[in-house]
Amino acid sequence: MKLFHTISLYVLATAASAATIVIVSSTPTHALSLEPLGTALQEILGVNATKPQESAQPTKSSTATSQSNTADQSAAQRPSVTPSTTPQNVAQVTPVVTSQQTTSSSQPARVAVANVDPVQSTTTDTAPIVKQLAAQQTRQISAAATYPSLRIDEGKRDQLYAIAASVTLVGLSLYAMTVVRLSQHATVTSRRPLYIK
Amino acid sequence: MTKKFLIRFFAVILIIVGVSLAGYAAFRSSDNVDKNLVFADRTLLSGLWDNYKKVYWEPGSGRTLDKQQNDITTSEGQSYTMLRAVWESDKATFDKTWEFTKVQLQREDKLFSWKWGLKPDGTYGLLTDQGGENTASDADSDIALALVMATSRWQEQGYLDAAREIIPAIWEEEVITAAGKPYLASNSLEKASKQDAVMNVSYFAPYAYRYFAKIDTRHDWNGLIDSSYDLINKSIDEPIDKSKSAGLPPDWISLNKDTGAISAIQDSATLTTNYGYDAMRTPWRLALDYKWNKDERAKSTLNKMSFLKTQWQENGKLYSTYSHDGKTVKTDEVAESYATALSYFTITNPEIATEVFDKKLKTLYDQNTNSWAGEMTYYGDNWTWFSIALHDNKLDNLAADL
Repeated sequence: MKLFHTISLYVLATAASAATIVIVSSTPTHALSLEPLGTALQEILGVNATKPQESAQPTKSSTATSQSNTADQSAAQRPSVTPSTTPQNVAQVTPVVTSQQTTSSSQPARVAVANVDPVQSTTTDTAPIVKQLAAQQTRQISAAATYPSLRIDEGKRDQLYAIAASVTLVGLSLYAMTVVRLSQHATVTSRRPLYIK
Repeated sequence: MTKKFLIRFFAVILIIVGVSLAGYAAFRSSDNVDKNLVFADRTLLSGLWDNYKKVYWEPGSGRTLDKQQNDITTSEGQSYTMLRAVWESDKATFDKTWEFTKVQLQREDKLFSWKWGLKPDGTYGLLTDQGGENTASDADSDIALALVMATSRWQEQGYLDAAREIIPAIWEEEVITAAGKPYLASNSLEKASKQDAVMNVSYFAPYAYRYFAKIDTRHDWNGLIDSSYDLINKSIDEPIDKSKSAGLPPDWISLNKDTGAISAIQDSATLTTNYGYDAMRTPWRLALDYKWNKDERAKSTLNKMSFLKTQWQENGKLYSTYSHDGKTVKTDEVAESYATALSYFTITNPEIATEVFDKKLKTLYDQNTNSWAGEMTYYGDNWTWFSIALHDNKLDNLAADL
């Protein structure tokens, strides 16, 4: 009987752990939210489980709403925030000076000034030179920023939640087993000898 | 009994480990992780200043290097270093930088040649084959401003004497008249041009013109403040070459000298009406004028740039370049675009400013090395520093009692 009891508890603990891992890993969660654990426990205990569509909806609770916002913000900050279309070495692509040299190679500003001013100072316009100069002075490119963070992504966090939940459940089960066994021992008959007249 | 004890002990350990893991996961995924780090903004600014001097400044010569452009030196770079040095109260760096600027870049008319570096013949000097002997009016204004502030900071008359030569020269050589109003052109060639003037509203520095008005009373610097605000607003309000305006200032525009009408610059692939690396300086310049002088025009103009707020709130990010009607032109995120937008938020939405600073700028700083965690250009380094300093109220109005 004791052996059966022990085996049953082990099976229960294992099943609960497995169920928790599956549920927590598959449920969209929010940062700092313990909702998945609650859902998992509800599933295990057979309590009325949350409807699937409800888990994706923000709750009316202000706390839950703020948690949702937190999750959205943290998602916007993770390393994935760097656009995938933009390589980190953007600055190395084409230095502005290269395009400037190309631009100015057709008609160097100085040459233009030297050729134009003394000869036709009253009729020649400096507008093309001005444009050329402005084009050189404008800045077209810079170094893309990356955002290193100590934060972990949602997938990693959910894995940690799942492991934590299963470890806690196994621990609780083991503890429960010992309590049950102790309580069973407590009911053992006294060793005091019976005196029968 | 021993077996029971071991099982219970093991069970308790498992429970503790499980709860700890859950707590660890919650902490590492939270927004508060970075905020919990010990952090001092003052350390950031002075740390970045030291790092800037190591990376972009040549102590032997006093020139600022643009590492992304073959180590050239521009009057813009010299002006930024001088401004940072005076705000950081770093006289040695200021003097060395000013010395190079004066000797190598200053022209006979007292303005500054804009481009200096390795010439085709292997020697160093003005890159005249690229128009390097011409001026950039933003740099001239910023150098003059730095000298004025240095006068107050270190009480040396020599800085003021130099500024007294530069400031009237800016007016004489770089301020044009359009429809009867004065405007700061982008360089000294504009005055000779009979066509529309090439203008860059991010060159306008009304906070500096207030100093200039005190030093150079022969010219209408206060009128230039008014016309600068007018043109910035006009360039924000009008659709220019698009069907509508998103409420952002453009990089470049053309100004008709007769009518004062603005338009896009024709036949140029690079001089566009985009809100890009040039225009992003406008919010900072307006924010500084508001901080120092509480000019309501600065705040009302900044309020027009709510596109930045919408972008941030909807996407959680800002891109480097937007077209004048608000379409994304480049999808790269760069430090200087966040930093200069920070100036807009600092005046209009302080809560969002804190958010942008925490999420997009503070995270770029490595406090272990007192430097940037990633790659940064000299331009990005400067504008990020200027903007964080403005956000933290570290840009003192040094010559307020001029």
